[in-house]
Amino acid sequence: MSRVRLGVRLAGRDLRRRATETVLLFVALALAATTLTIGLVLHGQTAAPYAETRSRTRGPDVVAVLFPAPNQTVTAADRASLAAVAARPGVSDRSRAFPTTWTSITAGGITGVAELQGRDAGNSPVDRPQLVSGHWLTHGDGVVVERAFALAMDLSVGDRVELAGHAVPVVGIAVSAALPPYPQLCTIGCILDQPGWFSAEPGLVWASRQRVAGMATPQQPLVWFQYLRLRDAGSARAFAGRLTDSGPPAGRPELTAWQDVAARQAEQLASERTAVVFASTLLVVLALATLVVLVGGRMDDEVRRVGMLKAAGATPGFVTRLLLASYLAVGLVASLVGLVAGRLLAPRLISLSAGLLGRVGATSLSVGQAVTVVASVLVIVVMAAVVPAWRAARTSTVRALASSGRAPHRGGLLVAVSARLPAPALLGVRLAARRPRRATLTSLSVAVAVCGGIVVLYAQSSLHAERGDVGGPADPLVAQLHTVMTALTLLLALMAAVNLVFVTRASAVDARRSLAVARALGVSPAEAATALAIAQLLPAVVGLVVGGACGTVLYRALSSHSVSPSLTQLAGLAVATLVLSAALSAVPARIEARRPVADPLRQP
Amino acid sequence: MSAAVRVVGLAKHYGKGEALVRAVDDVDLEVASGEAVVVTGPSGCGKSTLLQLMGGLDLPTAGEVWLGGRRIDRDSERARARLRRDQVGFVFQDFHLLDELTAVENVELPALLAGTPSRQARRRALALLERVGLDDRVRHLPARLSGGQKQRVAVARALVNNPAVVLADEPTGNLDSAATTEVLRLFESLRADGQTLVVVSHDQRTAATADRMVSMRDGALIEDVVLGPSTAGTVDVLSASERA
Repeated sequence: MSRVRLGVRLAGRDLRRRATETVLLFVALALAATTLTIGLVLHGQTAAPYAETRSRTRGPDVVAVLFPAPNQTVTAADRASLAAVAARPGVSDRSRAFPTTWTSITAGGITGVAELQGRDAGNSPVDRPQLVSGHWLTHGDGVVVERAFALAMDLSVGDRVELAGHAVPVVGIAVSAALPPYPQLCTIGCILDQPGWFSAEPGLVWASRQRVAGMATPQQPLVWFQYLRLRDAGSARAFAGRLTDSGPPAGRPELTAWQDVAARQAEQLASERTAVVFASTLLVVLALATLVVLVGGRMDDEVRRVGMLKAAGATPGFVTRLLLASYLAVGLVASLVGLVAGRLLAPRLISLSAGLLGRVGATSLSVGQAVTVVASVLVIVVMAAVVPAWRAARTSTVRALASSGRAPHRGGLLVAVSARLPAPALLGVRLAARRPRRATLTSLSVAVAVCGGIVVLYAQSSLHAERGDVGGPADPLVAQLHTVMTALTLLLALMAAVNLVFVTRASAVDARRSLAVARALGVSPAEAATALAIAQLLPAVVGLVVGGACGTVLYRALSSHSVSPSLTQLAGLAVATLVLSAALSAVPARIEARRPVADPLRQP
Repeated sequence: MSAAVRVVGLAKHYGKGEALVRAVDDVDLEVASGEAVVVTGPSGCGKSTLLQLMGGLDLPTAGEVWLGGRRIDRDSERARARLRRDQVGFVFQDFHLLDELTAVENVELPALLAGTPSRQARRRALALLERVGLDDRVRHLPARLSGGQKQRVAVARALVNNPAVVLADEPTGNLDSAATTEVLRLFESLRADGQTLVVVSHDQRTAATADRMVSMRDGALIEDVVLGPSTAGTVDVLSASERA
């Protein structure tokens, strides 16, 4: 017990002794834990929302749509075919047939196309849209708007919309699983026979049957929707397929199984999930890179302390456990802070597909997810620390006591090339060359952040190109993706910044004596600071190039429709990376260069 | 002779109140151009601090430091750095060679930092390594050199920019007897060539390489002795008598 207490005391004092490194380690791990938490929360939500919405709205298993023949309307006789489908074996419940038409909708200066579905005031046996605000249709004149479309049109309950020139109040906002939410509604089928509507994406609006019937025109005749529930929901595709297989639907309804609607919605959410999973992976890589540098740097410093502990009787096992314990303690606290931060941030970043119910805001992190986050962070810590800790503990006591740190690497070619450069560049190149592993990790860290940035630029350009020429209301999912991707890019940049500051500081401490010698030989503090910054900028430039290539290749591999960002955007990212790298390196470099030159020269 | 280095009323204090340490306390010293001065005294008496103040590595608490006729204690760090580059050569007890650079690369470094073209810097470094007897070790890394060889590389490095004064801090402090003799012989030859030298040492044999010996205790100068004309081979004589 006393050995445990001793270990805790020694680990605690070691962390306090090097408070700056401890804080940086903490920040890096907490950021990784935050992103992992956001990723897991989002994954949990995107996996279930359609199923949950379908269950809570008594969503249909099959959607039957009866279109009129060209230049004709659907007659009562035609509608008998809908009744025939509803009477087929396996159907357990059905809605009434709902008349549907398409009309222009305007509100607050935004104009779009509405798919207007005529509904009854009472509950339908199948498809009962769940209200998120307001109330359902009563005998009044109002309309209820599908939530994603309402978001795109910036509508809330009490607003008035113009439907083909008639002002109508919005009495409710609701979600439904019967049809894909805006802007995917037309994948089930639309008639958009109006000038300028060809590429429009309509949104669903529920109104009274009378209003819908009154809105129908020869160009926009009524189409009839009927929702069916089957005894075996899993057989929906087979049920729909049997009718479709018997030939084109001349006067027969088109059938769509709920699995196809679900697949369409999953497609919408997939890009959001991909963005988060991708960013989480990059952040974990960055966290690992930060830790490798951090632990490597600390272990160089630890070797002499290890020698002292072993000289005082500590076994290699005790020393290994002691070194690991201090990192694990920081990892544990950081992962808990990351969990809380991620839990608080997730609802702000993720609102799911606006047309689904989801559970955002109400969802709490499950115990399993929390354990996954903490375990992941601790595994990262152990992966980064166990080998150097084990190696340090097994260094002979005599060698450890005499240790003067890791010998620098000699980059012969860079030494020769740098001889022709001005003093700061000469020193900078040589400083970068003497620690190739650290330079590689700086490159990796910048590359990961740039890679993320490039993917975001590609994604935004592609989204803009997809929606840019359509006109009409904006896609709320696009705005949400922008928010998620921007937030994750900021997290990536923050982590890369922490990494860069730490690496510069580690390099400055490592090069303290070399720089003191250089200053004794006539290098000014400004030149020494510039040299340190250059030592970080060189690998950052390599990271920029590698990250740029990686981001381009990755996005093109992940996405089938990639539109290149403009040269200005790419140049902006490159310049911002270099300026930020230079600024972040300059701070610790200047602090180090301001130290009195005589001190490091006095130390043995 | 004009003064290469002059300090007037020089003081360097650390701490406050009861913890006040007077590392250098009201020291006046003038080193003429071409003169070789050895500063001796017990460990912790302020010799190294005095040397660092003379070379502009540190700033005094009070007093004046003049280098080559110019007062430097009020200069900025940048100006003092430039002065060190052009006028001062340092030799340290721990050599402070850069481990990743070969002997010749260590020697040419100050010249490159001063903006000397690389070929010219390399030629000068090779010539100096030949002068210190290390022409067969130019491509060796410091780890493959003996203590005496490392210090001779450090001396060559101190000379590469033709400094007005060479300041050496315990240059033989980490060397065995044979290596000490090597290095002292080198200092003796520098003195013979008219190089201004200030050497801090507690090794009595160092005095054989000097024109004057200054003694310090508790931060103050307590003795300043002119040693008179030196005789060639003094270092060898002292080394031989020590061996006997």
